[in-house]
Formats: sequence, structure tokens, C-alpha cells
Amino acid sequence: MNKYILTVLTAFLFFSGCAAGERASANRQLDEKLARETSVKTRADLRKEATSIITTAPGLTDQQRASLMELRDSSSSETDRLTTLSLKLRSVLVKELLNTNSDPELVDLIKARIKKVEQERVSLFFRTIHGVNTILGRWGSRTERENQEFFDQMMLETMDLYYM
Amino acid sequence: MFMKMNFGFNCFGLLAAGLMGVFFAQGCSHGALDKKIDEEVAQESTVKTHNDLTNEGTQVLNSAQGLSAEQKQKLKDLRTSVTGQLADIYEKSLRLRSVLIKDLVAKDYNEDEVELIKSRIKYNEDKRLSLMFEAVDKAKTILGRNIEVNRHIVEDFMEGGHGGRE
Repeated sequence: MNKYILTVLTAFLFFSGCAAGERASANRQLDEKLARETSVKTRADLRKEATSIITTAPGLTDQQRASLMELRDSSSSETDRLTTLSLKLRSVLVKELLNTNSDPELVDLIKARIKKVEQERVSLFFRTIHGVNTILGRWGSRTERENQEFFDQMMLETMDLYYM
Repeated sequence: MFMKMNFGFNCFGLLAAGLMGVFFAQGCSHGALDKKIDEEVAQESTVKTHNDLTNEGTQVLNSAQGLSAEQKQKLKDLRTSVTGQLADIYEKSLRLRSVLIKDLVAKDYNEDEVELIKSRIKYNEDKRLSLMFEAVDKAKTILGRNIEVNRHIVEDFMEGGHGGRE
């Protein structure tokens, strides 16, 4: 019996060790790629880079390129809208904080709005990734897509554990 | 028995009515505050970029009433430190997005790396928001409104704590 438990534990530790090793390797690989990313400093740079990549990426049809450009434009303008809204809310927050008759309830409400806008921004980002995968035909099935969306939603909801 | 039930029902009814009243009053008060925020946001026509926000912040801070020179200096230092950290996170986020774009259109799609980038971007966004809200608490302390901060600490404690709050 003890031998059996020992074998299971050893196997468990071995596989967790392997998984941790793989994660460390994936993280290292990504860090190396990030270190090489020196040309993108602003959102305008990123937009330019996206255009260039979509235009030159091998193996894409004209229809796919056009759909990706359209997705980039809509996602970009929605991100701009949310960024501007977040900046305006932050400006209102600064003024309310420095107001001699600052209302704590109002401050909390502005914070809640900022949090909502930021969550929307991350959600938009995840939806854009789904959009790209759909355009490029990477979804094996509807269930696969729904599962991915479910996990993304879970990831988004963990934001609630951090604030307020 | 009937009397007891009736009494229980009345108590329950009273409690429910009281609670509804509280929620209604809270809803009304939030509604008014929500409207106020909407109006103030609509008036913010000059803030469109991060630089605009920084300039506006400087102007508001310089002209704020009833602050000592020391308070103003501390708030300026806080803003400089937070702005620097936010810029750092922003740059990291842009780099991650740049790698992501390449990964997404690559022929040999690496799903694990895409998921890793997503989780890092999510982590950065969480950190950014946490940094902003932490700065609000610090500003309140500088302004002598730390009673509010203490209230949050007590609330967090009573709710079992928000482990992720940095």
C-alpha cells in the first residue's frame, strides 16, 4: 500500500516538475522575444506594425487580410474611446480628490467606473484575439470557442478579487 | 400559534420594507451621483491624451485651495512616481501586444505562448489599476482623509481580506 502511494506521489512530483520546467522555458522564450521588441513605443507604432504584419504575413488570402484590417480598425477605435473615457474619469477623480468638500461616496463611484472601463478594455482585447482566430479559421468547433470564451471570462472576473 | 405567525410575518414584512427603503434610498443617491459623474465627464473636453491628463493634474494641484506647500509637494512626488510606474507598465503592455500580433498571424500558431501573453497583459492591467487606486489612498492620507483609508482596511478585514490587493 505504502509502495503504491510512494509511486503515485513520485509520478505526481515528476509531472509537476515537468510542467513547471515547460512554463519556465515558455516564459524565458517570451522574455527573449520581448527584449527584441524595441521599435514599438507608442500605440501609433503598434498600429503601424500591425498594418505591416497583416499586409506581409505569408499564407493569408485577400479576404482574410481585409477582414483583419477591418477588425484592427474597429478594435483600435473602440480602444481609443475607452482610453479617452478612462482618462476623463481619472481627471474627474483628481479634481474630486482635491476638492475641499470631497465626497467619499463619489470618489468610490468614480473608482468603480474606472475599474469597469478597464475591464471592458481587457475584454475587448480578448474578443479581438477571438476575432483573429475566427478569421484565420483556427476554431476547431463551436464548443472549443465557447470553452475558450468561458476561460477568458473567468480570467477577467478575477479582477474583482483585486479591487474595491 | 396564529398570533406568533402573524407577528413573525409582520416583523419580516417590516424588515423587508425597511431593507427596500434602504436600497431605494441608496439607488436614488447613486443615481444622482452617477448623473453628476456623467456631467463632469462630459465637461472634460480638454483631456484626450496622457499628456493632457498630466497637464490638467498639474494645473489643478497648483490652484487647489487650502493645501499647504508640503502637501502640494508630496502630491507632486506621488504623481511623478505613479506616472513613471504607469509608463513602465504601458511600455511592457505595448511590447507584449506587438509580439502577440506576430504570434497570431504566424503559420505555426503557438497557442501556449498566446495564452501566456494574455495572462501577462491581464496581470499588467491589474497592476495598473491597483497602482492607480493605491495612489488614491495615498493622496487621501496626504490630504488628511485617512479615516477613509482606515474604513477600507476595516472593511477588507471584515470581508476576509482581498489577498490580491497590492
